Amino acid sequence: MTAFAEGRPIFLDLADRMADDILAGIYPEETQVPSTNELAAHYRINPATAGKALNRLVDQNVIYKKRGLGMFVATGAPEALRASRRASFTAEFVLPLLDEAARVGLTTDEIVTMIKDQS
Amino acid sequence: MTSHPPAGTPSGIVLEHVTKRFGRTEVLTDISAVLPPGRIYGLLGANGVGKTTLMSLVCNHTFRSGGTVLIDGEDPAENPVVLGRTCFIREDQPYNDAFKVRDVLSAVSWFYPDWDAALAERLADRFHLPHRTTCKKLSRGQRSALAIVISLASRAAYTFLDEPYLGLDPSARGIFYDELLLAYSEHPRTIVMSTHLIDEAAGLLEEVLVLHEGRIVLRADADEARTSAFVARGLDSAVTALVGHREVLSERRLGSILSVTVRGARTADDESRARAANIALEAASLQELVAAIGIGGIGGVDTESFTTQRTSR
Amino acid sequence: MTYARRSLRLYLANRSYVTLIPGGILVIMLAMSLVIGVAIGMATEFPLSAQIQEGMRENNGGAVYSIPGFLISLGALAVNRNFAMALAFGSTRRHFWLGTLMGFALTSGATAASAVVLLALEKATNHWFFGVYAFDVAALGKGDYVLTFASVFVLAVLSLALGALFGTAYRAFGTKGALLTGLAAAVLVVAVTLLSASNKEIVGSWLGALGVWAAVVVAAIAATISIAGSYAANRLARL
Repeated sequence: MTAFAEGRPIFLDLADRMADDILAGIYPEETQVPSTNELAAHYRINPATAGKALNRLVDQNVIYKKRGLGMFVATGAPEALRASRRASFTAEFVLPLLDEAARVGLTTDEIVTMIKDQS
Repeated sequence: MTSHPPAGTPSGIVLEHVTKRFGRTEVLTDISAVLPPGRIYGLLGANGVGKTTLMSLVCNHTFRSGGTVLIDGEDPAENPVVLGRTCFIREDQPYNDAFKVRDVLSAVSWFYPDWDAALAERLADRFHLPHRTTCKKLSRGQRSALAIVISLASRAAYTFLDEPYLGLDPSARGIFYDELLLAYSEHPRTIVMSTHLIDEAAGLLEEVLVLHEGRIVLRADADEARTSAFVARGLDSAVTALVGHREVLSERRLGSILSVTVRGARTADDESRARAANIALEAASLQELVAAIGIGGIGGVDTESFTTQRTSR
Repeated sequence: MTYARRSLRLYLANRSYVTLIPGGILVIMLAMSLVIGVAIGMATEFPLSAQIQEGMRENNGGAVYSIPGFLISLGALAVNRNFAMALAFGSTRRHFWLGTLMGFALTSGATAASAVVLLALEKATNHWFFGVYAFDVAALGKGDYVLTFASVFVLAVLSLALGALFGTAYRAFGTKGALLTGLAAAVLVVAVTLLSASNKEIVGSWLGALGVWAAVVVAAIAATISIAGSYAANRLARL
C-alpha cells in the first residue's frame, strides 16, 4: 500500500521525500513539518518508521525539535540541502550517465549536445 | 466498571523454548522470542506453518507441549487479569450461530472495560457490516470485517490479528490499514498480525518474525528485512561470480540465464560489477524473501544479529 | 463486570434459554397430557373416571421425561456455542464454566418456577376441567409445591450438567472422547446400582429416611458429579 520503492528502507525514502519538499519550499524555514503520526497515517506506514525518517533529518540538522510543539525546519536547511545535493550530484547522476553513455557508444560531445538541446 | 487491578506498565510477551506437538508431529519447535510491548509485529510464513497455532499458544487457547509463555511477566494460563488484556480472533473463529452481528458486538463490550463503542459503530459503518445478519450467514469478507471491528474497538493491550483481511477487497483493506494506524497512534498497544499479503502490509509493521518448519528463522526490524535480499539476473557464470560465498535463498534458470535471490544488502561494489558484467540487480521484496525462505529452507538466524554468515544450502 | 458474570451474560444473551425453553417444555408436556386425556375421555366419559384419574396421578411421568430431552441438548449447545467467543475475548476457562453454570441455575429455576405455576393452575382448574393430571403427579411429589420445585430444579440441573459434560468432553477429546465419557458414566451408574443392591439394607434405610425426597437427593448427587466432570473437561478443552 505504500508508494515506496522496494530495495530501499522506507525511512530513507521518506527522509528524502521530506527533504525534497523542504527544498521545493513546501515547508519554509521555521515552519512545522507533519508529526510522526500524521506521516504514518498519510503514507500508511508504521509510526516508528516515520519517526526514524524524522530523526534522520534531525541528525542532518535539517529539522529540529521544539519541546511540546513538534518538528520545525531549521534555518538554513534548504541551503544546506542544496549544497549537499550538489556535492553528491556527480556520484549519483553524472557517473551513471557516463556509464550508460559508454555502454551505448555515445561520445562526450554527443552528450553535451544532448544536454544543451534540452536546457 | 472494571473489577481487576490496574494494569501497570505492560512488559510485553516472552516466549522461551515453546514447543507444540499434535500427536507425534512437532509443529512448533523451540520458539524463543522477546516482544517488547507497544509495537506492531508481523508474523510471516507459508500457509499452515503454524502462525495461528503460535498465537493460540500465547493466549492459551490451545496448550503448549513445552516451554514458557509470559505476558506482562505472568503465565497467561487461567490468568484472568492477563488474559483480560488479550484479544485473539482467529481466522476461522466460530461465533454463536444464533447471534446476530449486533449481538456479538454487544457481547464483546462486557469483556473489555475499555471497549470503544463509538469506534465499533463507526468501523461497522465503514465496512458496511449488516447488524441484523446472523453470524452463520456472513461472507468471508464480512467475518474479517467483524474481527477487525472487535479487535480494534476492544483496545486490548495485546491484540492478535490472524490473516485479518481474508475476503476483503482492496478498498476495504485500505480502510483496515488506515483504521489500524489510527487506533494504534491514539492508543498504543501491542499488535501481532499474521499475514500472507506481506508486501502490502510490510510498511505497517515495525518488526517481523518469519516462521519456517516450526522455527523462527528470521527476526528483524521490518524495514531492514525488506531490504535484506536482492535478485541478480544474468549469465550463469557472471552471476555466480558476483554472488560469491553469500547465501543463496533461491535460484531459477532459463537456458543460460540464472536468476538468484541473494541474502544480504547489495553493495556499491555489487552495482559496479553488475554494470560491467551486464547483470541486472533488482530489489527482492519482503514477500519474495519469505517465499524464498519457504522454498529453499535456510538455517535459523541468531536473533541478536540480523545478517547471517552461513553459506547457502 | 466480574469475570464469571461476563460469561453469564453471554449465556443469557440467548434469550430463549431463560424464557421460552423452560416454560415451553412443560407447556408442550401439558399439551400432550391434555391430548391423551381428551382422547381417553372421548372413548369413555367426561370428566375422566376416578379410576383413570388415579392412574394418571400415579403414572404420568411426562414432566420427568420431557425435561432431560430438551435440557441435555441445551447444556451441550450452551457450552459449545459460547466457549470459543469467551476465550477469544480473554476469558479463562473456569470463569466461562462458572458463568455458564450460573446460567444453568437460572434456566433450572425458571423451569421449576414454571412447573409450580402450572401446578397451581392445574389445582385451580380442577385438573384442567377434565381431570387430567400433568403436574399433580407422584413423580413430582403429588402436588407438594416445595417438592415439585425441588424435583424439577434438580432434574433440570442434572440434565444441563450432563449435556455440558458431553459437550465439553467432545471439545476436549473429540468424538471418541465423548463416547468414552458416555461409557464411563454408564459404568459409574451400573457400579453404583450394583453397590447399592449388594448393600440393600443400608441404602434402603437411608433412602427410606429421606422419604419422598429420596429421588431428589439421588438426582442432586448425580448432578454434582456431572458438574464436577464438566469442570474437569472444560479445563482440558482446547480450541
